[in-house]
Amino acid sequence: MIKIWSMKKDNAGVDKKKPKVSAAQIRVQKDLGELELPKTMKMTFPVPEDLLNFELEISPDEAFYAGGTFKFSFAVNGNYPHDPPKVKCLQKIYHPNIQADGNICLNILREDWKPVLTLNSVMVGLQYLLLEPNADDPLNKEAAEDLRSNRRNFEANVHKSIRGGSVNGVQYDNVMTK
Amino acid sequence: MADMQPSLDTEAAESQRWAGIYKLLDRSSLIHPKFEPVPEIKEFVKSAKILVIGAGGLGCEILKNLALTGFKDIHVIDMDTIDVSNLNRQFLFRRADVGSPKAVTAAAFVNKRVQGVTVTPHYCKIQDKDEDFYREFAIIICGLDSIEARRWINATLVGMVDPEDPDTLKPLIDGGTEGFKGQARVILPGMSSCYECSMDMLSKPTGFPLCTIANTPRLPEHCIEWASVLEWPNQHGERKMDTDDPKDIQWLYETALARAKQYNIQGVTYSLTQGVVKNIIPAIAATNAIIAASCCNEAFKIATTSAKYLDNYMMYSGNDSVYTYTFQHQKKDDCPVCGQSTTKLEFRGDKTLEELMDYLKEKPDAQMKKPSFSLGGKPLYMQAPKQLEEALRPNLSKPLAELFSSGDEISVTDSTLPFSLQLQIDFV
Amino acid sequence: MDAKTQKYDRQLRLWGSDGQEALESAHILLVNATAVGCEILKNLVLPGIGQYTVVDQGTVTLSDIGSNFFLDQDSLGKSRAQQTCELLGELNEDVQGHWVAKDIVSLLEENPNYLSDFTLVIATAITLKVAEKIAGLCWQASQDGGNQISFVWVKTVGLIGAVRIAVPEHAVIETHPDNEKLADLRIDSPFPELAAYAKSFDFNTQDSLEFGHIPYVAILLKYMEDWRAEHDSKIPQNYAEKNQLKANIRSGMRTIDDENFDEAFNSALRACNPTVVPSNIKELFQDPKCEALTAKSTHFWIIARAVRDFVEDKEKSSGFLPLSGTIPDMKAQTDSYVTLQSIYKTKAKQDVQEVMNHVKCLLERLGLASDTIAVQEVETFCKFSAFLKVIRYRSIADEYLNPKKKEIASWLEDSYSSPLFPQYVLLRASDAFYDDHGRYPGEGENWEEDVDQLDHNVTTLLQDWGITQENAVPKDLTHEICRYGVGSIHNIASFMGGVVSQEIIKLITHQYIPMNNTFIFDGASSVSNVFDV
Repeated sequence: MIKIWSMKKDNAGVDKKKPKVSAAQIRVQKDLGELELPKTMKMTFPVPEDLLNFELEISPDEAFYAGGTFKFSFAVNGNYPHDPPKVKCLQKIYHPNIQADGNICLNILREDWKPVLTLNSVMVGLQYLLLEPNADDPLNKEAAEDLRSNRRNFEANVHKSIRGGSVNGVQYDNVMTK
Repeated sequence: MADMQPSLDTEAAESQRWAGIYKLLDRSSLIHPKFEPVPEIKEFVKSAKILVIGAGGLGCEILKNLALTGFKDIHVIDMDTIDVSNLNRQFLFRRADVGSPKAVTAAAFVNKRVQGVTVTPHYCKIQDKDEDFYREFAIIICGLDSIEARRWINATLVGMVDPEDPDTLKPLIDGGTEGFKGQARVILPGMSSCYECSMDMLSKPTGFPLCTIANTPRLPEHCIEWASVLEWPNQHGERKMDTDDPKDIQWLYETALARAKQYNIQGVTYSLTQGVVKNIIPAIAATNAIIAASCCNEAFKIATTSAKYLDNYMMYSGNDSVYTYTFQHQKKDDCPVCGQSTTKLEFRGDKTLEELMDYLKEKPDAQMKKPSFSLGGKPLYMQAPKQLEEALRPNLSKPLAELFSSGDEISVTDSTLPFSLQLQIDFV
Repeated sequence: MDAKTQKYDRQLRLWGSDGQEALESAHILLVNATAVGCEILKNLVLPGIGQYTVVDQGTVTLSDIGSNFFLDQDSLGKSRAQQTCELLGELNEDVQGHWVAKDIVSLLEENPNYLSDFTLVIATAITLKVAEKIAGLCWQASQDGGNQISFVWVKTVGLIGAVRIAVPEHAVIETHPDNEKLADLRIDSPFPELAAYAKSFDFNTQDSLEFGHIPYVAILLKYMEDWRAEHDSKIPQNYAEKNQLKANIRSGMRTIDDENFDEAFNSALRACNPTVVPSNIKELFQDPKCEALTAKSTHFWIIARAVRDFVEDKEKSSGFLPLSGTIPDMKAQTDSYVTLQSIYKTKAKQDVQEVMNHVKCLLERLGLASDTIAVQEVETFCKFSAFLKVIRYRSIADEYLNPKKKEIASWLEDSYSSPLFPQYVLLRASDAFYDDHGRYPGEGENWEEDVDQLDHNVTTLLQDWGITQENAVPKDLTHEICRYGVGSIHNIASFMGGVVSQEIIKLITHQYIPMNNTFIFDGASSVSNVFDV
């Protein structure tokens, strides 16, 4: 182990400073580099040098939310993948599992997150939420109630809301794909 | 007064003062036959620089223990200030010290109490120090409660190891406690299992489903999380919650209590509110003493070779009788920190990044498929997603010398690699 | 939050205000202000022990300040008791410290009742003779019906530390079992209110939201009830049947998203364990102290007897222990969860009331005032009644006069599970060495000359125990003990200081479970062992 009596400092080889790379950064590089995004998803990097903060757009081509483009922000912290990424919806939308202020009820973003999951798992989860809203674990209670009691009516509400209309007296953002 | 004091510096005084330890260092052992009781060992103990990370419950103990082991050049780094709730265990602090930097107060106390020792405080974050700083030390002992800080120092020390220079290997001894339980471990960066290798042993932080918090609260904790996660931003906008500010805690407590009343839920208290939002872990002096002493005992054995050091993990539990479990935690081949190999590669600086990429794809012992590259956390080229690939594509046709300098280390990820490859490229 | 609650916040989360109160009314005696002794006191003064007294007739030497943090250069030549008492006192303004610069033996000669002021005695750096004397006095005080005085004897020898606890009886109510274990759901034998609650859910007509939020306790109750209807009122008896019950539950799911069914599925095996009084609690009920109460019986035994009487009153208890009244969190709507919670809580309260009635009868029979035992005490007892623990330590006299020869032989043979028994033998042999030579092995310069002598003491001990095994205590280890030469090494003193103070906190607060009866740590191999010698 430590050869203690040969500890004399040898200053001959001056060490170069290595740039610091964290395990979180490399893991994100791996997650992103191996992504195979479906046509319905697009990513943007506000600062291309920064892989830890980016946006994801999902444009579902079927089900209730087809025709809209939904933006989510991703913020990955230095404790990734021990901590899950923080994901918010950037628009105000009418959805049983998404709150007006952007909070999302998706199990793998909180209680069921595991370090073996990847950014791709989260993206797939978000897409699933848009295809199959879950009325039984609501964040937006009214939207959930609408979905449960009358799917037709819910569908009409979604149709209206993603075009900037109001539902139950609340106005939503126009998120139609341009 | 002072000049009437006997000097503790004479050789005779020294050997009386350290009688217990010197017996170990002066006498040979049949259990540890490799140990040679040579005088240089004592000199090494006196001259070795030891770094203590954290001046909290474990840190105070560690500083005391090192000073009373005969180490004379001790440094301590901590960014925290003293809080009244520290006083039940952080015994170098008094009520009058509340608000002062922990590192400074702790160092001053030990310097005053133990003659001949110099504890040097660093009142800052560990991330504020560079590799030159950490390179100075023979051994580093960690008494932290933050996972992130531990991961950082672990990765830094693993990254510093140069296989050709044994002096770059800094033994890291890490301790942690919770209630009557704790653990101590020895990490030889790059050689034994590292902190990152054992991340899956950590208990999962309990997060509650957002929809439960929002709509079907059942526990007092659900009401507290509602107040802190959902209601706080609603009421306070951009202002961040300060969990050290009693006013903010009081607001959370009242908000959670009102919600609990509304739902007929019992058990929201100020103390529970504080516990949940600050993620408070119970802590007592006794457990800190056990774990810190264990860490320092290992440091002493490593420094003196007078007995075998811990290989590499000891768990302690005092809830039901006293139980310890000593075992070797296995190094993980795909560990993102110590599993990533550093390879040196000689390559022409006027060749392009694309040519490097092709080389890695064709090289028989690499055979990468779609490698992505970064330098110091900044991407050089990414295979995906499309938007990044397009933005970075111009780099592919640039000569390497334009992208980085000779000797720089780039990080390569690829689906064929267990985690990643650190590639040090020297231009030829 | 008041200042004291703030200061003690991190420990109150472990032992609560009751534990804190117990600590604050305790008075600890430390015999000899050694490094390990002061480290123990440090860890007790910080959390706010009531009082401590340091007894030590010695003056401070250089080697004292080398290993004891509660001495400094200014202390040299002064009373060790006084100096350590003062520096320890600085740690907590709420704690009272006292010191006596006398030898414990002469103190006890002056006043044989000297120990009766103390809750617990810590002895360090004493000879076997003195240890036997103090231990005997502590033990006797308890037998004479006075307050129990726990005796804690601590040794540090180089890299080895050891502690022996001796107290005639230590009873624990709050053993702090895992929350999960504490829940007593009675799925196999629901009380009427619980059965009615389960029936209030109609599994067929509920919409998907309601169905997905039926508490898993109700699901288990329903499927268990259905099972019993088809199986002669019996719950699943064997592995196959239990699995069948699990399969039934799984088949009741409407979608794979019904997490409440997952929860029910995962708890099904446990629910199939019939509710019974655990065997160790039954033993407790048969204990002579539970059988024959006297006016001097402790609250613990009076309440234990009341619980036993309650259990025997099958009409009230169905033969079960009082209900703990806690339930785990589970997927459910707020209302149905809160209702379920209150059903269990109400039943638990009723049980407490029944037990309380028995307590009152017993108190009357014993000629004690009916308010001798408060209802809160009974409540706590009932809540943890399945997890009670009574430890009867062996006295030190017993350890020396009636060695457990059979166990000793197996400890020496099984070096895998008892790697440190040779260390125990060597510590015992070192005491014998002291009797022979008036010093401890390895103390002097010619330390290697002591190896054979100590080995001789080891052999004698082993012969007394009838051990014939060759090399039961390796001679290399005997050599190592001489190498240590009873040196005090601060790290080991501090480690043991932590271990012993944890044990003392457990003894004083009567919470968590202390070890029984000897703990040994080997700092060379970083391994520990507990032996009931």
